[in-house]
Amino acid sequence: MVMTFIFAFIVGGIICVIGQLLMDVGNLTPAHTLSTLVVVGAILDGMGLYEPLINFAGAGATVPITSFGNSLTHGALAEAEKHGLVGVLTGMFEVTSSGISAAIVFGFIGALIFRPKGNID
Amino acid sequence: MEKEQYQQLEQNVTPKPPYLKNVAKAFFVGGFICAIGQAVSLFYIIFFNFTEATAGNPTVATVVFFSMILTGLGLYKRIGQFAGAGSAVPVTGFGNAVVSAAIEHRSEGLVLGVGGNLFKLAGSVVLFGVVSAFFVALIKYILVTIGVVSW
Amino acid sequence: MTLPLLVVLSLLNGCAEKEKFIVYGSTQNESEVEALIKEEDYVDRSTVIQYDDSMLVAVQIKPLEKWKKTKLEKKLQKKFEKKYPNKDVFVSADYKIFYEANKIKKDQMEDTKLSDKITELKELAKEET
Repeated sequence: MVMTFIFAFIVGGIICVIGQLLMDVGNLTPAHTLSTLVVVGAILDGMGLYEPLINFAGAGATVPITSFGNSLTHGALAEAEKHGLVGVLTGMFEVTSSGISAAIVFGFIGALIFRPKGNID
Repeated sequence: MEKEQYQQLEQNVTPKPPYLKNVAKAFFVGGFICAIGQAVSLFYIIFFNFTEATAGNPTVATVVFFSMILTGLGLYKRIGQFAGAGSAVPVTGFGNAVVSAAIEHRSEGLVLGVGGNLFKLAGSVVLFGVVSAFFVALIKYILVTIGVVSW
Repeated sequence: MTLPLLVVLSLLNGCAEKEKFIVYGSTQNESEVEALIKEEDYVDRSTVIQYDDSMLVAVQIKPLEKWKKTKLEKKLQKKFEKKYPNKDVFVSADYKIFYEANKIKKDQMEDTKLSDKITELKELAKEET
């Protein structure tokens, strides 16, 4: 179990380093960087490579933003597998990402209980 | 001045980012956030009926909750200034983008302010996530149909 | 920073060393089951719960092999099904199942509850995200 923490740290750290390099070396804006990582996560899941990464690194793979692409694709793929071509379309309504729902709910609650602190960035 | 000349000049004037230092900061802060996530996962596995396979969802929701608290207290911005991608790449960074936009536009009302601006900063992540999920599923469906790969 | 970490790691491993392979419940084929698991070098620790003709094999895979978890789980499942064709075998490499299996052993759970618990854990392991 201890090793899982170490691998979560290392793998999560490496994904963040990739993001940092995209920003510094690739001259991408943060929004471009995050969008790129989400798309990469989706493609990796399509190739069946993201699940092994989660098995190996646990939260090191589920906490970085790449997991959005993974969980969204996972929902779409499950539907496509079950219902064929129609599933590819209905998969769009089945896509789930607890991160997005959580951000919406907590964003709303946050807006109710907190006051703005200067400009956002 | 021509546009190209200006860009040339801009590039010469802009200082090069300290690559190694930024990478180290991103690695340690990002890794630390993921290790906290791992602790949250373990908590859900041991005390609730979640397996390693299903613990990811509650874990992500929980760290987004932490991110809401830190954002509301104005602390996440400070972490971000130090850590760069280390705090932007984990879903806490996504949570921060959504929550800070919501808080900032609260004064314009819940519908037009919060509702209209919630995804102002994070919308592109949702957009590209959903669209790429659609295309990946479509491509995989085609590949399976013509027999190149299996599900 | 690394040194204390290594000490902690070796201590944790040392404690676990004694009971790496556990068989609980009916003990008729205990050594056989243990040998069967020990053949698989990717298994780090295991707890097997036996009740009537159902058998819950909870294993933990070595950290560096963990990315192959799904495959190894299936491999072990097949191996056990082949060896015990008239038993209802269920293999899982999930930490939750392993944790619960150890709890069954620690609490010395009675036979009446055991079969329900095994069914419950099986359903849990099959859940998808």
